[in-house]
Amino acid sequence: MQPSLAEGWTPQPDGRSVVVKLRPRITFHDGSLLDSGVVAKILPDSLKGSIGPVFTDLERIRPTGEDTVEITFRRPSPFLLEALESPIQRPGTPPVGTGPYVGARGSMTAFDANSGYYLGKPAIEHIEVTTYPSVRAAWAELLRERIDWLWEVGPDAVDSMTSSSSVAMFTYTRRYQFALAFNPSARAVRSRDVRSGLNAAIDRDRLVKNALNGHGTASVGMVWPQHWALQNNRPKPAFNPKAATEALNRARAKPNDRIQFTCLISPDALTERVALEVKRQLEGAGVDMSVEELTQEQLLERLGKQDYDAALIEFISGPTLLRPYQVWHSGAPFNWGHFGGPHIDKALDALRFSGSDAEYRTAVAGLNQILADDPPAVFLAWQERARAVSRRFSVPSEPGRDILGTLRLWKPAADTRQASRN
Amino acid sequence: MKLRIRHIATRFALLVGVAAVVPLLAYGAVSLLSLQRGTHDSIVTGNANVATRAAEEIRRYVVSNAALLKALSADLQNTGLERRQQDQILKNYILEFREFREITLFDEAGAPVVSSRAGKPRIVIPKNASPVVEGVEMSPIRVDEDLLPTATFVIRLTRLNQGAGWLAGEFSLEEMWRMVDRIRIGEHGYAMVIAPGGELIAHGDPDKKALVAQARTMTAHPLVAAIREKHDEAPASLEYTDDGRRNLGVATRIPALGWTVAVEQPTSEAYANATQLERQLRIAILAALLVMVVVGYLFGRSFINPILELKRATRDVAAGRLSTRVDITTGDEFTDLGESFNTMADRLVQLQEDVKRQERHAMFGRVAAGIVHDLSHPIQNIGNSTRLLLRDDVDQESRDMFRRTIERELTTLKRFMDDLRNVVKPKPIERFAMEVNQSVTEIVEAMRPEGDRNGVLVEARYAPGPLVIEGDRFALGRVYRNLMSNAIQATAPGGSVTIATARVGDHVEISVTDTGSGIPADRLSAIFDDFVTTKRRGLGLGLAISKRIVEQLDGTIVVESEVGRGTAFTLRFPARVDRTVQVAAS
Repeated sequence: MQPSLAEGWTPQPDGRSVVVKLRPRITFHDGSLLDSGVVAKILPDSLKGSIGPVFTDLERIRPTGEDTVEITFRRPSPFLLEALESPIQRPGTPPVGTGPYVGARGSMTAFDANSGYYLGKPAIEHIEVTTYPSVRAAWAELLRERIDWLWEVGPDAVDSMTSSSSVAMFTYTRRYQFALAFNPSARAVRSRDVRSGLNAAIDRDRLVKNALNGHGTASVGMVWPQHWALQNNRPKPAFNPKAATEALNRARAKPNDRIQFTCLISPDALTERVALEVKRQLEGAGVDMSVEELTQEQLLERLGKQDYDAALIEFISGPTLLRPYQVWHSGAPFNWGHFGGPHIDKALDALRFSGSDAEYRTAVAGLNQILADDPPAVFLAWQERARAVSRRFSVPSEPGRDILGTLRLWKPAADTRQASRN
Repeated sequence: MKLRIRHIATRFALLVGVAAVVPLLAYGAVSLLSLQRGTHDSIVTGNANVATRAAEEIRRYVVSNAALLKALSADLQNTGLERRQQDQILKNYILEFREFREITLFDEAGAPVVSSRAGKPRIVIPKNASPVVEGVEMSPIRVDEDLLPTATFVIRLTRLNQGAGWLAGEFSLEEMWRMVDRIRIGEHGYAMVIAPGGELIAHGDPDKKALVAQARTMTAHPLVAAIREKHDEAPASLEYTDDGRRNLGVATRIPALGWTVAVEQPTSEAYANATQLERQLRIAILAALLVMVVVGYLFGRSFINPILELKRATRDVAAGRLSTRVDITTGDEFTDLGESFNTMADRLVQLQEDVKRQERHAMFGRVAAGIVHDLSHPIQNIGNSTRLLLRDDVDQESRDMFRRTIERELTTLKRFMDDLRNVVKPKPIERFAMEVNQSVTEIVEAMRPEGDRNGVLVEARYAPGPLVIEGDRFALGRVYRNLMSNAIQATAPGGSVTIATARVGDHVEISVTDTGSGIPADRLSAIFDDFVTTKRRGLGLGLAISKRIVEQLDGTIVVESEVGRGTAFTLRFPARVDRTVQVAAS
């Protein structure tokens, strides 16, 4: 984690509080000052709505000076610390933030550079967002130099676009991963052997190659692959055909019974392709997976009612473990399908309450072990996507990282006097 | 107009030019032409091969995928598969064959039965499909959301010769796109594929992919127009300008699909190697020309130099510098020629020495004869007068006359000796005012006896006097005597010698005219030189000394002569203005 609005933080000797020092002279988009008093007032409400049960770890937030805020925990809570990455927005319609761009007056699709941004005014003065019916149409507009940035390019289109000399492609790994999440109460997948067998039957590398066109990273579990706690602690790949066969055989009432279940997917070509690849691989293990495509609303409804066997969804899973916690812990705000179970809650709580880095690492290892022994889902792959930006812009980038994080540093390339206007 | 080439060096340069430079230039021109034509043909052939191979691969790619769908239709038909099994087959097909985005089986009424899609099938049975392989039809190409050219294959299913539905597959020509992307000729040569309707469906140039997204119609493209005008299957090649760039393009058709595969490359790149070779060839030719010119020049110099040296030496010899020799060491005929020249020059020197020796001998004889001639007369007069003077029967008047004769002849001898001395060491002139008529009268009186002896009438005509000039009476007397004596000697008996004076403006003229034999014109200009004489005897000093004396007195002497008619010498002196007569001391 890197400080943003804060200059830094200092853990207190009692081990349950941290003093955060704010950057000086930070203002909201409306020009009002963001000081310790404002933070102490806004942050609890912001956290309450976003971190679910973890909020109970917070005892209080109080200003201790003009630019210092003391955050006191009821107990050690790494997730609460991770939750401090959440943006500070003053409630309102729309909320008032502090970021480098501010919504243009009277427009929902235009943004102006925030001249009062605490890291300096962005070089690009104005951004307008336009929607297109298809990536192709947007891409054509980009190549015609009528737009400057295509928000996101899927894996199927990346290859055909990367060779353009007028457009730069910046690939990055999304902090979302495809996972085949099981309904813990569904009869078809209730058995631990079934879930373990399914988890071991999927060759993630093959899936990345076939379904994602090679533009992705095979998943090894719930944890973001670059998470610090995975260093020297990376779990083995789950793919193990022999173990899959053994587990599935144990789950079968009769040796030749086929295990069957239905997987819900959203109406998205890529998700469908991933589902078909999963389906094909499971067929090889003697499992029939039906794929049922639903609208987003239908999917959420079915998940909420726990009316499903499994669902193939792209879950947010990084970069901190707070994200999967918010999805997989019972009662977490994004656990729409009642995913997981007591054993997952226990593993996640071990993480949540770990008092040191060592405990945290141990808890991560424990979580991975639980995921292998009694998986609540088959964690499949992290998708790689790309953003396409006209080369008329100079875009600072780091390999694998989303260039959105450097938007304020984008600027017209040296030989470009004026960017296009839509 | 006839060209005259006066210098051998020019001729030699022309010879080298005609013999070596012209063939070299001709060779260079032919080479450049061959290079350009050969390069063009080679590139066209190479690009045509690329286009043809690409066309064949695209055809195979499309046909093999159509055949795949056809095989799938066979699997689905009449095999007793349950819907679930058919569904599974379709879904596996989709994963196995990535080109197919969706495969859906329709019933006879056009309703989807099973589909590779998990949700509602999106594919529809195309209305305007055309055959691509037996039993399989293909819709026109379109570009899908991922910018990939996409078509729909459709197979009519039958059972017992009755319609049993359709099998339709959405076919994404992704591999064709990649195939086209992989085709790269040089740095900027790309391939493109054009659909039968002229739509661009693939372009290897990353910057031209926008045209695909825009479904750009290429019918106006010169290369596409060219291939469409062709009625055979051979590729079309063309050079054309597109987007301000000159391109060399080759296009070929895929007859089975009606598509066109075109390959284009900027001519600047296509001909880059040839251009470089051409430049190198030009440089090589120029270098060869330069070397040839330098070598020719050096060789020509070595060839021409002996000639020029001989020419210079010949001119030197002609100018009298007989010591000039040549040193030609070429070892060829020029060396022989040089040696011959040197031998000739040596011989000329020898001949000149001989001539000089002979001339010296002749001169000595002539001088001796002249001395004898000039001395014999005075000596004879002195002798006669002396003898007569010694006789007792001679009266006093005669004695006086003899004595004067002796004195005069002694004076003449003395003057003769002075002449000789004057030749060796000229005597300064002493100027005094003198009256010309008087001095002429004296000489006429002196010379008349000689005229009488030779039967020549000596006459004198005097202009009205006085005619006074600044002169040396003795020196001018010698001049008159020389001229009168020469005239008498050149005049045959019966002829006459006339000495006349005249005043012409500010000058006084004295002319001595004879009716003698005259002087040939070729010798006329040399008669005033030392030791030149037209007489058989005499030193040839008289006229030379006379001219020197006249010029010392600021006068001139000219001669006019006509062989057979006589000679006239004219002396011309500035007249003295005060006309005062002063007689020089005798």
